[in-house]
Amino acid sequence: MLSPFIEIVNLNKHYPLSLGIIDRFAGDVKTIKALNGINLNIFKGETLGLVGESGCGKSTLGRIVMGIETPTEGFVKVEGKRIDELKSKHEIKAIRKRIQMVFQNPASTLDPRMTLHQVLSEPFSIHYNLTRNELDKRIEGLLEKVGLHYGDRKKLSGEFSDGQKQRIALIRALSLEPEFIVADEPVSALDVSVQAQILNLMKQLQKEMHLTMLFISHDLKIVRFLSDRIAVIYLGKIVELGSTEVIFKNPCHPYTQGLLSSILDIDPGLTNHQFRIKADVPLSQLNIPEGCVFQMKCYSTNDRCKKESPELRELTRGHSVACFES
Amino acid sequence: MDQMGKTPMEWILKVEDLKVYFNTLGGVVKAVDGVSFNVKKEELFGLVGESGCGKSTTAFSIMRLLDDTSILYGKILLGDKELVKFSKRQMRRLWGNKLYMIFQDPMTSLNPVMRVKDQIAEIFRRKEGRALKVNDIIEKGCNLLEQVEIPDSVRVLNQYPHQLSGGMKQRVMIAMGLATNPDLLLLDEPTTALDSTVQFKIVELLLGLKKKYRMSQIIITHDFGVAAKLCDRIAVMYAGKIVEQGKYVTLLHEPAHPYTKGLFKCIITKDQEKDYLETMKGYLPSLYELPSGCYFADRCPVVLPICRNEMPVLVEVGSEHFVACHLFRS
Repeated sequence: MLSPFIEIVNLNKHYPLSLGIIDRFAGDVKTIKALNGINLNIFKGETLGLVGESGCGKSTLGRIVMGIETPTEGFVKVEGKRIDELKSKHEIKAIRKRIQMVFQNPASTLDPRMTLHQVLSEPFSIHYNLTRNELDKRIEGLLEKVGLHYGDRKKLSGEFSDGQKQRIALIRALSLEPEFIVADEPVSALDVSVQAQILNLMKQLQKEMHLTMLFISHDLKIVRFLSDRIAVIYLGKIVELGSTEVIFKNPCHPYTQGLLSSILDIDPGLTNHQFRIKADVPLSQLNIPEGCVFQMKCYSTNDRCKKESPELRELTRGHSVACFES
Repeated sequence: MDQMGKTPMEWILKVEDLKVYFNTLGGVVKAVDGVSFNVKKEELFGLVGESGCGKSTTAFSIMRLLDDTSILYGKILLGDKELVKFSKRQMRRLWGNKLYMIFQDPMTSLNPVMRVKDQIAEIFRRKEGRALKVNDIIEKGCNLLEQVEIPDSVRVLNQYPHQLSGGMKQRVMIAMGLATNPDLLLLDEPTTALDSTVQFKIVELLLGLKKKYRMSQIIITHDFGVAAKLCDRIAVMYAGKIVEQGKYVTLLHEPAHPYTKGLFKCIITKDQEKDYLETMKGYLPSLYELPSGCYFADRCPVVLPICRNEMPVLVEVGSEHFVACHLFRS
């Protein structure tokens, strides 16, 4: 059995919600339960797609894996080592080099007043000690990889278009040749014609560099294109996990089924007409119902769903669902 | 020619050679440059394109919501009214009456400090010129909210916008649109800010209302999935110009303009199993430095020498199907 590259064990993330002073004295502090009991393994060389709607905790999970946020409970292991137990600066720096992140909005992750050359040389100056020639050579190679001109390196990063900025953000993340990247909605802010370019580029780099990736998106179509396995997350819980093929051909959780049927096809004749989610039930991590997280929107609830919370259980090899009905 | 008086007009809105220019520090930006289209009665017309192509600016100029930094040329005819010549005061009489617009972000388009019922009451007050009795507001409000499939409507009427989910807020906006019963309803990316399951429900709702109320609507979207479900005819915009216009199904099955072709190809579909996506080379041109000739020439796979020098004009290539491309010169 392969050992996972990233191991997420029993992860909880609760944000305390500061209310008025009286509530605090009364001890009535509410918490936002962003993540509840997440167990997930990411194996070397695979891309795991994380799908869910806004507010389901998918970005929080990505940030915890990166070490940007600390979990309330549970831990993340990288190649068997818990990242929260790393003490020395040296060790932390070494792990940072190996895992990198690409964010949703390229405009706000690049300093508009830095030139392209400065943006790209920063990671090298932190982690390596390169001569000027070596640095130039590296940057030239990187730019070539994503189809940008070497002559553009003197331009300010604010001068580039959104698609170009995302390319820059992508190569900045990949410049230190990390083994693992977290991509948090990297194409959501882009136009369709540019989206396709970036997705192709990511797929190509993924192959060339044998990347392991956690790909976060709300769009199942996009996740399908890049991922080997997909985890569907709802209100901080993984409700279904399986290979991309299984999730699309044989979705078992009612939420996954609903997500799939909500995809609007460009051919008006092809859109699915059997939509089975009670939409518009206001959901909030403040008062997650007892029992199944999905019960409010589900059409096939029974008494058990209201009392017990279904755990992820394996239906077939590699395909797990958290639902009593399946 | 129009046959005003003889037969009822077949269109509700006619836009002729609309130009919207902005004076900026970097020079004049031609956000919309010579756009013409009309919206027929009871029709749902789509303006489709990527960001910065001028689709929202077109809608904002129909509503006359743009401020003084913009210059409008051309004609916008709503029935017999020439909106370009209208003053702010004249326009105010049309807003929420003949014209109603639903914006992309429902979070910011409702007043956060007013209850839903008070915002609905405001519409009736404007429309009928007098305040309604509280009971009437509740009755009419409930009626409206039920039209947009909001359960528990009495409770929602007494709530503030922040107590509602994004989808609910957009439903309230649509309900208020129904209350005004406008000649023309404009929807600017009505589902973009919503989750996909909620988007699906709102699209279904709009489709139901379209059949029931027979309102003329302009919908602005970058999402061809939404356009596929809702629009009868669409206009595809690129860098401030309409490059192709026609029935949605015509454009889907027989796109003529290389840009439309490319756009449809690079959309990821549900059944995508390919390893590689079709792409269009290059990026959208900056509106500050537009090339001479066709704006799409740099990205076009079938570019001709003439494309670099001369801007193509819209020509008819089929029934209600117009294309601006030198490949289709008459």
